[in-house]
Amino acid sequence: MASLELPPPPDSIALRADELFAKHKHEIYVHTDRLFASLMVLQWVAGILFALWISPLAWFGTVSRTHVHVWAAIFLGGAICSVPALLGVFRAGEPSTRYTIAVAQMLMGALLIHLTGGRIETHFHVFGSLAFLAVYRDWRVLVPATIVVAADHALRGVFWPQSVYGVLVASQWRWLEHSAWVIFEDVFLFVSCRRSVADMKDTALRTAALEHAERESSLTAAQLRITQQQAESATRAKSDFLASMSHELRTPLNAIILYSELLQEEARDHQQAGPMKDLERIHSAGNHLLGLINGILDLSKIEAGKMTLALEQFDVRAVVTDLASTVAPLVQKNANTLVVHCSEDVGPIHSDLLRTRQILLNLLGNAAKFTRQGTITLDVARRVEGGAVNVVFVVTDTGVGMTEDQQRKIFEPFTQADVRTTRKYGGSGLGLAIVARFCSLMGGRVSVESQLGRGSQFTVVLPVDVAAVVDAALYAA
Amino acid sequence: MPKILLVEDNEASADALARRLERRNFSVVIAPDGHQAVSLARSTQPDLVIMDLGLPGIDGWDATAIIKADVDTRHIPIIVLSAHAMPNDRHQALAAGGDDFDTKPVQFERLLEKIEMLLTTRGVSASASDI
Amino acid sequence: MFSRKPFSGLFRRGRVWLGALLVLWFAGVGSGLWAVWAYDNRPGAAAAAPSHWPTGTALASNPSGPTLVFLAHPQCTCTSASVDELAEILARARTKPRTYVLFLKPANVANGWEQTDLWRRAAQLPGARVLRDDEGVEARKFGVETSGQTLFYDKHGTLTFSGGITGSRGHAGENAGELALISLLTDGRADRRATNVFGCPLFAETD
Repeated sequence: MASLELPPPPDSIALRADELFAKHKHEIYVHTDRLFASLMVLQWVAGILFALWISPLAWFGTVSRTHVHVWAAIFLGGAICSVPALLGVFRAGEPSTRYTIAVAQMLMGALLIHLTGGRIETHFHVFGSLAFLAVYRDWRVLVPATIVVAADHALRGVFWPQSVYGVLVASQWRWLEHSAWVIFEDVFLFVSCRRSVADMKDTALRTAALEHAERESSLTAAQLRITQQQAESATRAKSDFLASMSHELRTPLNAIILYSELLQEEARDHQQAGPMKDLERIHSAGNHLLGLINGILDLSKIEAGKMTLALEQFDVRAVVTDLASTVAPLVQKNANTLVVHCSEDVGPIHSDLLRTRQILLNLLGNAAKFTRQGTITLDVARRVEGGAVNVVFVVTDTGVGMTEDQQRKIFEPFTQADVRTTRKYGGSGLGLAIVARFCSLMGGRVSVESQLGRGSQFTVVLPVDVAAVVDAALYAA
Repeated sequence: MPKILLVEDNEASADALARRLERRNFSVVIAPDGHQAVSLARSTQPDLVIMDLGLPGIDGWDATAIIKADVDTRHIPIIVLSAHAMPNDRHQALAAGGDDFDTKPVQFERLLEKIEMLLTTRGVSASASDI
Repeated sequence: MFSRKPFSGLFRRGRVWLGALLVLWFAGVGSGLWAVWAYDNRPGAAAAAPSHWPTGTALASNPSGPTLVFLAHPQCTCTSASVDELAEILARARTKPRTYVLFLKPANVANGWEQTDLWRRAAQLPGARVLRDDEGVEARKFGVETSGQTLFYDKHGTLTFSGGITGSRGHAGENAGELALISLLTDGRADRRATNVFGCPLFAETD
């Protein structure tokens, strides 16, 4: 497994990796200790069975006694196996446990070899034991094991040289060969253990890094949720604010407008011409203020995403005709002429009636406001553009027009073409901003073309079926 | 002359509207909150109620519902007034039992039309004569 | 033995106890193994074999070549290794000797007592004559006391080798006796004339 090219981990990850590695190591020690505890018992039993099978009795002429090997298998075997088995159960994971197990394992091997009369197969026990001990992945356990094997050979070679290999000359080569096999296996297992440990460390590091990343991402997720909640509560606060401000602003205005109208009526009753003009000014100011407030509240509602559309089917021609009469006084105020071209097949439209009227009223009102002794034209037609059916309203005037710069900013709130324009022509600078937003809310669009001194042309395109075009969340059918 | 119960907590608004209505030959009783609205509706038995929604104590919704639930007063038409003018308000008002809905600031002529219509359907003769 | 938590306070003491226990254990077990090895390596009583083919034996020596006499206790499991070694020797010998395998049958034992697995294996040795030695008469003639004793008499009837052919009790594998006999049967010489014999005593002390 290629090692990942990572930058050096921050301390927290490195520490956690060490922790995980130590934990994993310990788990392996405990697990293997328990395994060996069972193995010890198994070997003990095997030893007894071997002794009983191979050399159950020792004979002295006609007298037989239980063979020494049987007693050895039972008691010596039991002694060899008991301590490591108990340690494996009660002190699993301790270094002393596994070193004891290593020693006991090889001693048991020596015993088993004797009990089986030196069968060649039993010698395999040595190699098997070493390999099994490597399951600990701690190369150090191989050391006492190898020492025991070596000591066994050495001691027997010293005290009972015959028992080891017989003729001395041959034995030296033998000894070398046996040692070579054991050393070879030791080296192999040593390398294998080291490799395993390196892998374990690597895994621990990756796991720690992964934990860290997961924690970060869940932190981020939590933060995101908090931010989202904050945004939501901010939006809710805004709507609540809107709701209460709406009420707060309109209530006194209600009184102002009502009183001014009342006083005007009473003055007319008592034929008092004096206060009439003043009262008219109050009334007019009140209405102006109302217009501003409505505009601001509308805009805020749209911005807060709280503006919902009320969709209904209505006849465009009828609405246009009605609007024409509504704006007539405004048009006449500046001695303008209104021309309406509404094609016969415009038909019905499924949209927000109130908002559509608002849009058209605003555009027509603007046209009337900025034109003197000119012509205001309203063209209404049904148009099919690439699969979408729209109704197109074009308001053209022969008024003052706008510069290119003014055209660019005209749909932004509070930018009238010019500050001077506001003072000269009145208005709040909100109308077109609201028109633009209403248009887009209904899935349509508005655009302007103008020439300074020659006039302006506003084009509004609205889909015939708003519901088909716009996200359902925005409207209440 | 037809009697109107005007439920409005803002004194100025109440006074201005009441006086304008009186000029149109309505007699007007003012209730400044929901409780009094309910009890005055019962006791004075007006021909129409104009209910402002932003009331202290019991709000306009509940007052409307109570008046409409009460045997003695459920026949009285109610116009609900709201300064909020959100689409929901109209539905909510009508659902609570209101007979009509209008926005504040009041457009007097429009309100008059609604009053006339409701009184006519109830068979109460309304003298909506202009002076 | 020691569970961790209760002894964490007495950690040092626990450690010392454990250490002492392990040392004791190792010493005990080591001694035990030592004893087993000692037993396995304790030679049986050597044979006082006559240096010339004894008279009065039912066996006939081989005038044209060497004679091997192998004596065994039919029930002795250790001798199994010796039989394996005998097979090995006979297989590797250049000169095939006349081979006698005698199995002791003491008095007062049932018939067929001596017909053990050892007998059957011995019978399969090439050129071996397997005989029953009633009451150990022949064994005594040859002065043999331990099962697994092997005697080598040359064609002149001179005792050339007397000893065991296993390294230790019941232990198969290359050993001095085996090598000596092979050498004798191949080159006619050996580096030793006697080895220790490991096996059950043929006669109980009371015999």
